[in-house]
Amino acid sequence: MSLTKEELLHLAKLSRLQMSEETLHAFQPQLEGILNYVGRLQSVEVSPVSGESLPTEATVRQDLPLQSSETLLEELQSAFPDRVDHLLRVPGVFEKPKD
Amino acid sequence: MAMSLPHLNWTIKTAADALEKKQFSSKDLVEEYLTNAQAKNDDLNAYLTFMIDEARAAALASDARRIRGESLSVLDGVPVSVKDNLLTRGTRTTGGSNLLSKYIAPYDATVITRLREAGAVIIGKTNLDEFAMGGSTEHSAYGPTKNPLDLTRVPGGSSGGSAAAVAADICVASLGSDTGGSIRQPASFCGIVGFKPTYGRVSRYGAISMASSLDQIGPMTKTVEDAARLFEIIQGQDKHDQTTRPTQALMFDPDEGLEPIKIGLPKQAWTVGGIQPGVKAALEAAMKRFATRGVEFVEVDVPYINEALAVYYVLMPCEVSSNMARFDGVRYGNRAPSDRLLDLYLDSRNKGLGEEVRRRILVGTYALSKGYYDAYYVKARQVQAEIRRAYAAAFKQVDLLMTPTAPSTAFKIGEKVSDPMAMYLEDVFTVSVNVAGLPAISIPCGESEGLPVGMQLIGPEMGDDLVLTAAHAFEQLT
Repeated sequence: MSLTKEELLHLAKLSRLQMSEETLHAFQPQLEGILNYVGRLQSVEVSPVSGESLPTEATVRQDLPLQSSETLLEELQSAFPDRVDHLLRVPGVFEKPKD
Repeated sequence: MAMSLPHLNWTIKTAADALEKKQFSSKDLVEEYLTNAQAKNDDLNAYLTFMIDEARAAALASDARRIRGESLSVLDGVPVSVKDNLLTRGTRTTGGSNLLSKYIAPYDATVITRLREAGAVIIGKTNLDEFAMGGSTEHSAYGPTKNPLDLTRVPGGSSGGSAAAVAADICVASLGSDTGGSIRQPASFCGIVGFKPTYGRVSRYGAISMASSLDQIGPMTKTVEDAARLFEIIQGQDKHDQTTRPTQALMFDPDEGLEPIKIGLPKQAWTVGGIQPGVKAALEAAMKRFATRGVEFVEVDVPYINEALAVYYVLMPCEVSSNMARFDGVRYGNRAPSDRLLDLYLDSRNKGLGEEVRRRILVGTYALSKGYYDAYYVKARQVQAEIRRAYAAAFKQVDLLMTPTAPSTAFKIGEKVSDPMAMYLEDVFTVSVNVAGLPAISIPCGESEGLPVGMQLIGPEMGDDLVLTAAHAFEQLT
């Protein structure tokens, strides 16, 4: 199993991670090592019917609003990295924000 | 006038007893632990945050309840610590990550709520590998935790802070989390008890998710009885976590003897290379002692468990890559300022996330990408199903299974940190338990070159009671 530099850069892009030349250099053999190890699964014979389902009886709660309070609201908002009053501030989604 | 505390080393049981007899107050006990913990933490780095004011207030409230005869549980007034990937309202929760260095959670994890409702006094948050990814606590953004038995060695991980805190007696008991061995391996390295319950017995609500289908919270304690008491308090169905199972009362009586049982030794595990001779010798000596209590040991065939590590290192990173997507600097955590949204994501994640987290995100992204999904993720799920079946078949022949908890004793700080695969192999005996959703405990069973060795007992699904009962019986022999 080999992982090319280009593939690694593409994975980084998909993962929203930056990759310095130095990191790229360090990660390439490490990730290859991991993928080589897990590659052993390819040769494991499994029974034809081996569908997997979680054994738990799922209990889905109703999507009802929880009780809230001014304090909780303030706590949630104070976790915002950037805010304007009660709003979460983010940069424009489009490349060229309007002035 | 309260009596002085001549020595610490309290367990939940002895502390509850002394508090009940009013030998001292919770305030005295908590102050003693806080002082001791702060003094020792310079060396150990077991705690990331102390909750001094909250702990003092909780201790006073506990003492007031006791005077009124309204104590809530055996934990009432007892100082405990919790791993810092469990959300605590009003107190910083970092997850061991730079990205959350200033994050104050707006709600409590369910296990924290249950601790508080039981009157426990939480004195601090313990160090961990970033977002619980690692086996040595060296991947914490806040520096490694040291093993209290030898400061040049790791305490194991990822719940290394909790293990070190319990072993150094700077808390009475602690909560950790275990995705592939993160409770059991550090318990083994630090010579304490670490219990991973059956998947679904403890709510994960408010625990920072690493691999949601494998994560489970559990007790890290000085005795098996303490682990049972703490488990009893945190376990049970929770409407906020749909993977929790209907609550089942724990059947554990420390005074009741162990019925004759049969323990299987999975030949696939015992024949694997890399078990340190001293570890093997300690386990074999432990078996001889255990056999005197009517325990019969038999070799069993558990096909596929040798594939569990590979299954784990596919499924876990897949879930990690998805779970870590939330850390983008937008809604909470540290944001790297930028005018462009993409740069905001990239810079925030770059500054916030450490190497091991990034490695796992990349592996997961690879395994889930088009063209590789069937070969990796789907195949891993199929082998996972085989592992579950193999365990179920083994538990038709035996009551419990036994392996070493880890192939080695605590290794040196820095020894494995730059070799991810070497670090991953530390999990070889523990991961299959998470892959199959089973309960397992690590208990100290001896020493190798002066360092503790852990014995792992694995039970069938929902067999938490038997795991604890057998571990307790073994502990009585030592």
